[in-house]
Amino acid sequence: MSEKGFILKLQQGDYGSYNKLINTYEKKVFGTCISFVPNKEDAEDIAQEVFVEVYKSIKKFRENSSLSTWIYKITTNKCLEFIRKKNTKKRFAFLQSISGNDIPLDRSNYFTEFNHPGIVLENKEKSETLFKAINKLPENQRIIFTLSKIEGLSYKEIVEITEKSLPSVESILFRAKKNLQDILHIYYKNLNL
Amino acid sequence: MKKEQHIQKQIDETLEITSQFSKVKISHQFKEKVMSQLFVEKKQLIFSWFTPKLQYATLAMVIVINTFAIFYITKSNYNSNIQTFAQSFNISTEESLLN
Repeated sequence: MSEKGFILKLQQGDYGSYNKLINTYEKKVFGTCISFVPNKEDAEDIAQEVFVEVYKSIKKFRENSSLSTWIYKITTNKCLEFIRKKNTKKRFAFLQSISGNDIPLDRSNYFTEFNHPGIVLENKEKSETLFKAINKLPENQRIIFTLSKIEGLSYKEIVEITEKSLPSVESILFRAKKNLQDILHIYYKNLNL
Repeated sequence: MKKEQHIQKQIDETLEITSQFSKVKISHQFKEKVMSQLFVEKKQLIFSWFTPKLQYATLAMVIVINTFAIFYITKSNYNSNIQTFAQSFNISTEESLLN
């Protein structure tokens, strides 16, 4: 079946086609989610929301990109939505705490708990530090650094997903690495005091 | 100088850590969970027009209609009860067929 035919079946709500869709994309979607949010449970929840969004929005899909690219875009957006919500809750909780309401607060994490099964115990601390540093980057730098260095996508794939030009992607990645250097430098300088 | 080199070494190790991430497997139940959510949601769409606002409005209307109905039934019962009472004590102003 061609991709066009497959999309048509998805638009018709065909059970078998959705079964095939999840079989094909669940690993990639989950892999991307855990690259952005290094907690297995959170990443699975987000991945589930991605497929629900695909189901709801498939009729609006204009086929100006491949199905795979479209799903990656949804995945990236859902991850960023999750991170924004978590960061908002952190800020709200912080305001509550300074106004005298005693709310337990973890100001450092945008994920429930660092639980990335793909990282061995000895690398856990450094990995957690890296993810927290990535969380301090501007959103466009976070997206491109994550897709490139953590998810391991090619520049061509990143260009398709982000709809930015290749020079733009390269430039943003360069700035992301520079900013991470600065963030980590401050962190380790304070740690080594 | 040595301290600066040590800091840079830590930074480099942190940035390189991503090359040591291994692929993570998704849980076995993931597909079943998603499929049941997608196709249960599809069934719920049949009644999606009956929104909570509409539900409350229907409930309010049922209560109002029932209240009016009870009020009018009670009123008509009251009048006929009063009539019966008055007739049994011969104080009714209406003429009886027996007279």
